[in-house]
Parts: sequence; structure tokens; C-alpha cells
Amino acid sequence: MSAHAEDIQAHVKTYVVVFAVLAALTVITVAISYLDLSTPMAIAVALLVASTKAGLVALFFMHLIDEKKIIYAVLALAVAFFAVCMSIPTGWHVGQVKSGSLWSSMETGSAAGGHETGGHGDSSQDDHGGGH
Amino acid sequence: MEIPHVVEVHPETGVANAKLGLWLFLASEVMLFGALFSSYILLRVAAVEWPQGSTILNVPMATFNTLVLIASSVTVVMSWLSLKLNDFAKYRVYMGITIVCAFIFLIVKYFEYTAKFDHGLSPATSTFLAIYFTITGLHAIHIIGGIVVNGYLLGPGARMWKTDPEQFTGRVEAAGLYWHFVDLVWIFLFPVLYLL
Repeated sequence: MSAHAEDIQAHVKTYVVVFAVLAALTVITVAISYLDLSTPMAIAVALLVASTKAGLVALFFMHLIDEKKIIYAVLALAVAFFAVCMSIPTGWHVGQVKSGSLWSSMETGSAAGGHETGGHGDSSQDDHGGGH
Repeated sequence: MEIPHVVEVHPETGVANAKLGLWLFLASEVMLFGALFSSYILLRVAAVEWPQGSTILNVPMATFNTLVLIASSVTVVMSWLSLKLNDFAKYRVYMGITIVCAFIFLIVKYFEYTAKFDHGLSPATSTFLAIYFTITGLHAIHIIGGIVVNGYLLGPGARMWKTDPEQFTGRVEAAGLYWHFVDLVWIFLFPVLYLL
């Protein structure tokens, strides 16, 4: 309980400013979604704004701006595994999973499914999704 | 038996055990939600069609909920700061507001969910709705968890303020870190599910 009152007041001011910025960024991200941006551009902008907001929460509310080494080490580990996790979907391509009929697509694609005899690499091509 | 380094800093790590433990827990939480985000990306990039979230989901409601969660992040950190200033009365006010915000979030979420079900939209309807209900449902469970912990610290757990104020302040700090994480997850969920 040895915090100085002046430091505390400075903390309060920071929290209020961060709150205002977070609220403004929330409104901005919604406003941007109404612009007619291309999908890749919209994703990039939305994730940039979200990352900025998350950064502000982590740095100021969670006090990561001034934390001990061991906490950064734990986080670095989490970030590394998170990056691996996020890289997993890169090997997939459009059409591999049928929208709205994922489960039937998985059944026909599965070697253990028992009711699909074709080569498993092509089995999703003759799926009964009927898209094209 | 007394648990060591609950309040005082551990000489090896430079932080109290409670804080390190909480951050390790949050690291595991990153992986839990990370796996679901990864699944979302996989399902989306592999899908022939994918709806824009705003055509199915209620953006104004989610925007309101985002602001509610951000506000609760401020109040939970203010509750911890109040304890640092030895102002227990203010702590109760800020922690109380935090819990009210959490309930508001859940109530709005309830109306969102029921509106979907009323229109015949369920997790079985499409891949998009399946991942939407899965991730937001898991997040809602985390909100409930936060209510339980914060409620305890506002109610029966607050007795510790009289016997061991430093440990109590540490508990509030740890609960606050968790609550910020729940807010942080929603900050990504909101644009990913509702706006893109």
C-alpha cells in the first residue's frame, strides 16, 4: 500500500485517455466496415484497429508497459505457439470445405467413412454439395 | 501450511507467484482462443461461400457490448487502484459497476442469441453460425467466470481486506488481469465475426 497519490492520479488520467481512445477506435472500426473496401483491405484495416486496441489494453490496463522479464518470457512463448496455430490454415484452399455442408463434406472425405470408395484426395470433388 | 510468495516477490522470478501463475493461465487461454481463431480462418478460407457477419448478426448490439466491456476494463482497474489508495468504499463501487457491466453484456448476448434462434438460425444452420456460437459461447462462459470471481471479491472474499489487505489487493489485481483478457478477446471477436 505504498503508492503515491500523485502517481495514482497519473494512472487515473492514463486510464481515462485509453478508454476514450478505445471507444473512438470502436466507432471507427464500425464506420470503416460501412466503406466499400475490398475484402483483403477490410480484413487488414479491421485487424490493424483491433490489434491497436488490444495493444492499448495490454500495455496500460494490464500494465505490460512496465512488467518483469519473466512475464514477457511467458508471453513470448504464448505468442510463438499462437503464430504456429495461426499458420495451420495456410495449407488449405477454397473449396476444400463446403460452406453450409461441412459435416457431409468431412464424411465423404474421410477414409474411415466407409461409404466413399474413390481416392481420398479427390473425394471432395464429387461431393453432393452441388455448388458447381 | 502457508503458501510462499503469495504477496512478496519471489527472488528467482522477480514477481509474486500469484501473478506468474495468472499469466501462465492467460498464456494457456491465448492458445484456447487461438485454436478457435485458427479454426475460424481455416473454415473461412476453405469455404466456397462465407456471409458477411453484418448481414446475419446485430452490429449495433455488438458495438454497444464492446463499449460496455471496455468501460468495465476501466472500472476493474480503478477498483484495484482504489485499494492501492486504501479507499475500500470506492473499490466496492468500481467492482460493483464492473459486475453490472458483465451482466449487461450477457443480457445483450441473450437477446442476440434468442433473436437468432427465433429466426431459425442455430449452430447447425451453417459453418459460419457454428463457429459464431462456439466462440461467442466460450467467451460468454468466460464472462460468467469473471462474474463469479469478481462477485466473490466483492462479497464474502472482501473480508480479507481487514485481515490481509496486501494479499486481497493482489487477488483483485489478478482478477483484473483475467477480466482485461476477456475484454481483449472480444476486441478481436467483434470485427472478425460481425464486421468482416
